[in-house]
Amino acid sequence: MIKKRLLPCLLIILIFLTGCTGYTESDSRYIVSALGFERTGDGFVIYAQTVTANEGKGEIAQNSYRAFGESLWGTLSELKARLSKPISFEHCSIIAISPEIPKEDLVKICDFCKDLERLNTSVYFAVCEDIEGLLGSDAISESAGGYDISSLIESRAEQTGINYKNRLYEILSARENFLPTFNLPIVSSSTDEFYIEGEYIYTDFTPVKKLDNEQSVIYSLITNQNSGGYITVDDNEALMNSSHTYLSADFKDERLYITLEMQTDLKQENAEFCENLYLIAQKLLSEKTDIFGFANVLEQKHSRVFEQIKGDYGKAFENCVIELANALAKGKRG
Amino acid sequence: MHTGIEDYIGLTLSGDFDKDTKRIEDILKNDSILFKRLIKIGHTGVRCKLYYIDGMVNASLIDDSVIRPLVSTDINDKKLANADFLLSNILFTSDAKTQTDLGELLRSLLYGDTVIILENSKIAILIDSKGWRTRGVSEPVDERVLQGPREGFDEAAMLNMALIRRKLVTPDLCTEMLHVGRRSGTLVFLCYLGSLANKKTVDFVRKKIKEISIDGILDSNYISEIIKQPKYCLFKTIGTTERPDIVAARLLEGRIAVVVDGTPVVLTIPYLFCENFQSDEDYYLNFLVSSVGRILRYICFFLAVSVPAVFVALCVHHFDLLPTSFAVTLIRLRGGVPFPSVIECLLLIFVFEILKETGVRMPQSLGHALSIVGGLVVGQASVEAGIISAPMLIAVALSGIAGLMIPRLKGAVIYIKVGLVLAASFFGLYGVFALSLILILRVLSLNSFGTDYTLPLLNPTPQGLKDTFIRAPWGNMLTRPTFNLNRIRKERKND
Amino acid sequence: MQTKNYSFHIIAALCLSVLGAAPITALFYNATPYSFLSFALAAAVAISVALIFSFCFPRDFSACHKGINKIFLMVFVVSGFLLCLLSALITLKDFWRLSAKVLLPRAPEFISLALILALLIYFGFAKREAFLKFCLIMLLPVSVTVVLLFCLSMPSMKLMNISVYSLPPVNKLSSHSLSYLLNIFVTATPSLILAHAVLPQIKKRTLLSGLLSGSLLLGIILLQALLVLGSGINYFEFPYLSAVGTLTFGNLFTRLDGFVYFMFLICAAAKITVCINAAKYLLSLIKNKNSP
Repeated sequence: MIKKRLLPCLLIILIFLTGCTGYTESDSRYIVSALGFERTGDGFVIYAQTVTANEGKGEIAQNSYRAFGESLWGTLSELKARLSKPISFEHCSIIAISPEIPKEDLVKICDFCKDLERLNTSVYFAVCEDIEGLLGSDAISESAGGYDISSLIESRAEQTGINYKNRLYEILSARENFLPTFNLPIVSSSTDEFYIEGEYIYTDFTPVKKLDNEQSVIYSLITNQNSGGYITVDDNEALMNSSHTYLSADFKDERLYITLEMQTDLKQENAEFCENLYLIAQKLLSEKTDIFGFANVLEQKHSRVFEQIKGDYGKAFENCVIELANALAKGKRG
Repeated sequence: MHTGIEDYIGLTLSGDFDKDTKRIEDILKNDSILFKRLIKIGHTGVRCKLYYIDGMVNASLIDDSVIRPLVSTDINDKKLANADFLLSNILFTSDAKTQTDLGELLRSLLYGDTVIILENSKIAILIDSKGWRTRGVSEPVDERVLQGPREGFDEAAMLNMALIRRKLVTPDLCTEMLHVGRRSGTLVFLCYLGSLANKKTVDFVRKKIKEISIDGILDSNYISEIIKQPKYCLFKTIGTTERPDIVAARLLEGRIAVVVDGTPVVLTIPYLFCENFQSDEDYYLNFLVSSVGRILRYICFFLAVSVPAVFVALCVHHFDLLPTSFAVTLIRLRGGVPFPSVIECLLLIFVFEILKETGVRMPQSLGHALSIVGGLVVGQASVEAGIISAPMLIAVALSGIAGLMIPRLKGAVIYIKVGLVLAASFFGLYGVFALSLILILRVLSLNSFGTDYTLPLLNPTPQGLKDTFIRAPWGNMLTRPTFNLNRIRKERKND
Repeated sequence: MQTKNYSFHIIAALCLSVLGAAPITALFYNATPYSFLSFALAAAVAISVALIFSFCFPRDFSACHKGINKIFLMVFVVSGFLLCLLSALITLKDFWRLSAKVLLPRAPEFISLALILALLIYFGFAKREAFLKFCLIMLLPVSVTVVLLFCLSMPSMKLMNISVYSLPPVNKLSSHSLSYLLNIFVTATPSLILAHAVLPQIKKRTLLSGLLSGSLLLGIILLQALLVLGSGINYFEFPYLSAVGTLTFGNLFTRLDGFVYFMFLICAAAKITVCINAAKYLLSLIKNKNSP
């Protein structure tokens, strides 16, 4: 009896609630395909590349908007106020940031993105000198500019084997490491295309090194983030089929010794290629800042050594000796 | 006022010839096709009057086997002109019996028998002289098979019983005759295999049919809707078929068949959920082919009920779950459509149902025209005019076509589909999932005349599930699926 | 006689009950790279305790209505009843939070609550047999979803995200294991009560299978989230959803969260209904009825 009376009552209540759930048609909203962040003297600038349906049938309109504000959430409210329809971040593929953004603000931007409604945690971060120009560029595909940029990053990753650690969840994970390290591609646009010029290495949320495309591939090899692809060095190209970087560490006489063994299978033997590759790798390894995130590897794999140096890691790394052992020898491990 | 045969049950003939004949003629005075013939039996001078309904009897049988022997007999002893002597010595008919009850006499007379009232006798003679024309045994239109028997039931219950009897040559086949309907007196047969059917279910069905109080039963669906439990349920709990081989197969599984005169559709009780996904020829084709068909039907059911709802939910509430390129394409294709997604979807479902119903009822010669109109007007022109969007049309069309794969769930699919679309529009995927779970639980709670509607799930072993999602080969169907809860399952080879 | 074999149904109910709403938050509370080890330890302890509980569970309650046995029975019933209620409320609270924030973010929160309450009321009134069959058929899609999503996320997993090179300190391991034990396995206890109610002579292997399968699925979920999201797992409100959201399978299958929503709803509804049924059974014990 209770069931017979209760269920119709519940049904009636649910019917009255049906208007409260935020019914929004797909063509009645702005879809944000890319976001951009800059820091001015007073506050933040947020750029948004949006896609929406045109009034006429069969067309979409891509537009770019920007807003200023003191805080990120305030700037977002300002942006929303300029748009005539609700705004959705579900399909935002790219977040472009200016390289001048200081550490604290970059952390704020990451937290802001994490809390942004329905923003996918796999959204790519990228660095761009001219964000307004990038987000204002026309789309190449039938979709949107942001989607084109993310496709570009993915296709480059597939070709060269670079595994960019530039997704939002990867950057957030990096925060928990002893030395947060991640690398963001540098994206630019010309009249009819988008392209990647290299990458910025961020250590502890500060950009410490800018690499060109050749260097970024080798960087990925050193940091074991390469799943195999074509590498070009001084117009010489080779297919790297597999790469494993083995790091061993020791702390002797108050000095840190790191040995890197890189095992690669080159498809074509090219002594000049190997020589050039080796030189670039050596040059990268001579940086005095741990741009490779070795600290995190040491913490995991060589905890004894790590315990000895973690108190003053910066200084220890400056005095560190890094050796690249038998690098790039075909199938050979030193 | 007397309205039905039941009003005369229990009354007997008086023995007064004039009184009895007048009584019958008064009862049937408004029936202009009642035929009467007064004859005298041989040289005895004893009068007898024949009554039959013109058009329902075999006239030559009456002439040759009844009237001729009665008139031309040599008997001249009045004492011999009684029902028993005439039955055993004079009449040439194969099926004849005596009857005293007035109600039974009237029932038989109105069903095509010939009644002979004898002078100075309370006992009348009933002769089976049915000669009405029937449609004959033909293949059912809605249950065609690629391979297997092609016999189908007819409107005559007796013929249908004969077809069943031919399939099951066993004394275990029990048949009970009932009459249902105050004014129609429709003949209803209850059939079951005595050693397999659940006695409680048989008693329950018999009781329910006897309790039916209605003017007339013209189709088995009348009985089905009256005795069905629960009454207001989306899903069928009583099976129907027009094929004698299917009835025989179901009787062999321990089910009960209800054969109703005047309709070729026979009811089978109980009916399980998994039977909605079985096809008549599943058991006549190779098990691999049948299994693929069955799995396809399950998939089609899922597609038929869920595709429009999920599409509406994704477009309206969960746009983030769509791939970006498809989402942008969707925005482009939807631009300019005046209706909200849910209205568009319901409109398309409505139009599709109209097309389906029209296709069933219209003359065959107009079939081509309808398909052109349906395809061009509803499809192409509406999309180009911007009244509906192409993706929604595709989603609803896919759902509609998938629904055609499972004709036994036709009604349920429509209700569930619309319900899920409404839930999707208001509460998104959350509403779709919640309603789906409620429906699933509802199906699991149902029972068909005391038998669990999802019986195989009570014993989820390979033997228990051998005939549900797939059809196991005949060699592996080791045990009989029985609904008789009082009997131990038997091995086929020991039977 | 058509035999009813409820063993598989009990296994399914136990498995779904252990899952419950744990993948939403309880599984990832203060997660660290050592979490998987802590969870495995907690699971082992919980299963052992469950087997002991099964040995001690009285088969016949008719003798418990006299003297001191009555007191023990009352204590058992009251504590069990409270545990059932608590477990149901915790699961409800977690699922409500998920549905309000993710499934219907633009709607007021009470709408999500109303919807799930409507669902649970229907489930609560359903026949126990129907509910057990429901658990049985839902176990397959839930386990296939979990395993499939785990396999699909393998390319984005990083082994460095879990502690594979060294053991954690014992005190951290034990405190973390204790929190898993309390937040997940103790709240799954009503399912053990229901299992004994449905099958008084329940076999130990049925119990073991149910608890092991639930723990295994939870372990797979925890492992997947840890390996994909790494140390930053605590930044996410719903880590498993975020981990699944990173999956891409070609260009078409990009956001597979929808499968996870369905899985969460099934597990939450199953667990709360198990608690309701267990509570009903305990109340019936007070009314001197042994039969479920």
